[in-house]
Amino acid sequence: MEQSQAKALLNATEGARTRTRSVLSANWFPMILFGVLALVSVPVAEFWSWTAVGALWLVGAPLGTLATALWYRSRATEIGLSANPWPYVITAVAIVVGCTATGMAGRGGAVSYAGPLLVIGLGYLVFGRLDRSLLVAAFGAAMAIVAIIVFVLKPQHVYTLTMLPFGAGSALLGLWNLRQARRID
Amino acid sequence: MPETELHPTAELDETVHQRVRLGILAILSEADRATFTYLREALDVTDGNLSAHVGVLAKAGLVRIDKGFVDNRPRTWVRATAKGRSTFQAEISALSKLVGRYRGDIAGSRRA
Repeated sequence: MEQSQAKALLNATEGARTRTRSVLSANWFPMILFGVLALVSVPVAEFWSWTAVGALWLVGAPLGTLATALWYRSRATEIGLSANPWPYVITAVAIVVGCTATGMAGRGGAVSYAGPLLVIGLGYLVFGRLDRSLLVAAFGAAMAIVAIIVFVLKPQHVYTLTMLPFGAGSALLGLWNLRQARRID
Repeated sequence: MPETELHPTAELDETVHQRVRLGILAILSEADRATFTYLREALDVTDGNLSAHVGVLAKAGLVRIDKGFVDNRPRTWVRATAKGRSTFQAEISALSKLVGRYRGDIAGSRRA
């Protein structure tokens, strides 16, 4: 076998793998959905009540996770390509359970706002690893660092200070991913 | 006595070592499963051609074929088996060795 043939075969194979990874890395739907949910929760926290924020997340997070699962399923059927869903399902369930547990365990203290943000940050790190997306992983790491900073500093209006960057960042990353996905399609 | 090193071509798998079949396994190494239609369009081959190559891989136990229906229309999904994934990795490693060996030969002849 000639070197040029082996090289061409290797290049074609790597090209097919890269294209497949690009098609599978579409994550704009959950990124925008949870980003918007976080942004909506900010005025609720500032101008309404903590009970309303708790209710918003307790209803919104499981519904959002279910909507995300249905979106991935319908997209896989439409394009004819699907990733292994289990690592994503396990990570999403861990985020919902982790946020609820730390939010309730904190009893309104530092853990109740820094804990969920830390769990979300770590979850996004895992999603970034699964999608091989450096942007999503870096965003997750940034959110985890913000969680540690607010835990230490305990600033005023901490919910707004954490949810605004998380919501805006997630929505913007989702819009960026949507633009990339449209280019590929 | 030094151990005789096999030439990398000896490590190439006859079943996998073909452009379309390697392409099918390349796609399935990244995805959980792909439809027949996706594979046909991604690899730019005809139905008959793809069908023959998927058949060869299935017969060797490297892929599994699942048939089903979506909106009353038949849909064929193809997924790599564990054997298919390991065979693909071995093939890529053998091809990489082969390219590396040629590079070494060229560098050696240039030095001489």
